[in-house]
Amino acid sequence: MSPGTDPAAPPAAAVAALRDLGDAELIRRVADRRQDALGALYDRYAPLLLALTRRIVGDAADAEEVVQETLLQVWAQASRYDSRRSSVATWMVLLARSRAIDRLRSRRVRERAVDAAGDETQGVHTSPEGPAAVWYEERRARVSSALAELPQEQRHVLELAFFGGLSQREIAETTGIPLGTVKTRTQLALRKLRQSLRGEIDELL
Amino acid sequence: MSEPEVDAGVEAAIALLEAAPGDLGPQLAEADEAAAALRRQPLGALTALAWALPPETPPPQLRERLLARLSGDETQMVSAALLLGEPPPGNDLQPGAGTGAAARSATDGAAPLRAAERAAPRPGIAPAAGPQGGAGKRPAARPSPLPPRPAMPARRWAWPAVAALAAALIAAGALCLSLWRELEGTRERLRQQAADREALAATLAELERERPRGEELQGQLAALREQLALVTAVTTEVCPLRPPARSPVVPDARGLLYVAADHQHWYLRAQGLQPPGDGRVYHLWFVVGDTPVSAGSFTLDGEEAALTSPTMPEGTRAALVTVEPESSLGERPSGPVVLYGSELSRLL
Repeated sequence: MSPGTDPAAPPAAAVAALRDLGDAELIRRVADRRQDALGALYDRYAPLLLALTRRIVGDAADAEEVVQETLLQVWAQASRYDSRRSSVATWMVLLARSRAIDRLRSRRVRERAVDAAGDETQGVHTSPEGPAAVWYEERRARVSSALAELPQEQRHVLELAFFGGLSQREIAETTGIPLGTVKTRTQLALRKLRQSLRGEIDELL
Repeated sequence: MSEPEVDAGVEAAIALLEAAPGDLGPQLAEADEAAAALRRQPLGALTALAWALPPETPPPQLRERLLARLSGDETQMVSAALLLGEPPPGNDLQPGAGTGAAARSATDGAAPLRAAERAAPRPGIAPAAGPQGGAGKRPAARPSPLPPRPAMPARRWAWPAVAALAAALIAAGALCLSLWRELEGTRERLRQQAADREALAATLAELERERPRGEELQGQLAALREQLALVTAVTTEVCPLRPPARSPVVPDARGLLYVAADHQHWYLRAQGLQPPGDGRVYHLWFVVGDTPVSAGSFTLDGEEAALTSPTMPEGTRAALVTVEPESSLGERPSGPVVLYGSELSRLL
């Protein structure tokens, strides 16, 4: 939605002012029942959330519904958000992931998550204009680089857990890898990511 | 954080992922402080998996559907307000009822409450009824206008008044003519004096210009020497700037950012740029962390531009050039990225 062309859209100055606010301030405004603040969060994170939910559920319509439900949950629970526990981005990502996995399980197509675990080429690669897109791509490049440094087997179990919603035991049963090995690989992957993305985590958190 | 604490944090993050996903929000919010602190970094690391995905632009109707669902909660208040002929309750994203959304301020957090108050009947403004209303009349919302005054008889005094007015006008005209002639004479003298002053001032200004010209040239020469020293120093770092890979605004644009060894003095040279458009300028930003810091605007000399400064924010990891409105530059970039360079984080 472009504020300059839609007569129902808020003034461009108001939109620009919201765009300059940090995530924490936007969440505070959402807690104050400010729909424009939720709209600003949507504009900021919808591409990320949609990519994530699409990656998990596979179906575009389901992914869009999950994104919508996530934002509605943010609307409902904004007053309970605590910045000391996670960043807004992490909170929203985990909410979206949670709902997407819920959707996935309800459709009983878990095998799609396993098959899609190595597929990162799905999705529409469109880049919105402006610095936000450039920074997004830069952050994605840095994060991808850190993930690429993980041994493939560690990354695989991490993706099964994160995108597939599988428990460690379920990963072991699905892949045939011993449970102890799954746990070890997951721990090592998280420790390594935590170390290599220390700077990013400070921003993400 | 100690190794056992790192392990505990990792375990806590994994446990959170494996928890029933139905109501993650409260789980994230209600975990004890210690567990939350331990799993904070591993959780952040996990979200890296999401950040690594290519972003997907959602369809426009998704945003509309979301806002429509949010607005559904206010439908009753809107209906009640509309029945009274009032504008709908404040909501910055709702279409204004002809008054504009800007009229409902950004701090209108109590809009639903005020709408409810408006919906309640106000004392003292009751619909007209009983003796005033009558059987066939609608209740009056405003007092009826006063009956018009009867017209004054005009013909008896019109001609004397016209004659007096004409005489006054003629007299005024004669006076004005006299004053105008005198004024013109004075103006001519003043014009001549002003012309003489201008000529003298021009001569003085020319003399003034010549004197500092040498100083100016010396200053320019010194600045050019500094720039040359910066560009040619073996300790200077060079960061290339290129158009964004996707949707480049000016595909042929290129830039080089020279950064001195002190990581303060810098010199930007950009080429291949096109005029940014009426009322717009190119603007350089340094990126510190995730925060853009303004570094200055520049104009073109043909297709090239240069900008320099002795200060660069500490922790600068990237630089970008955007097109911005000349008269309303904000604290963050608002226009498209023309050039971008992220090698500063490696160089500095």
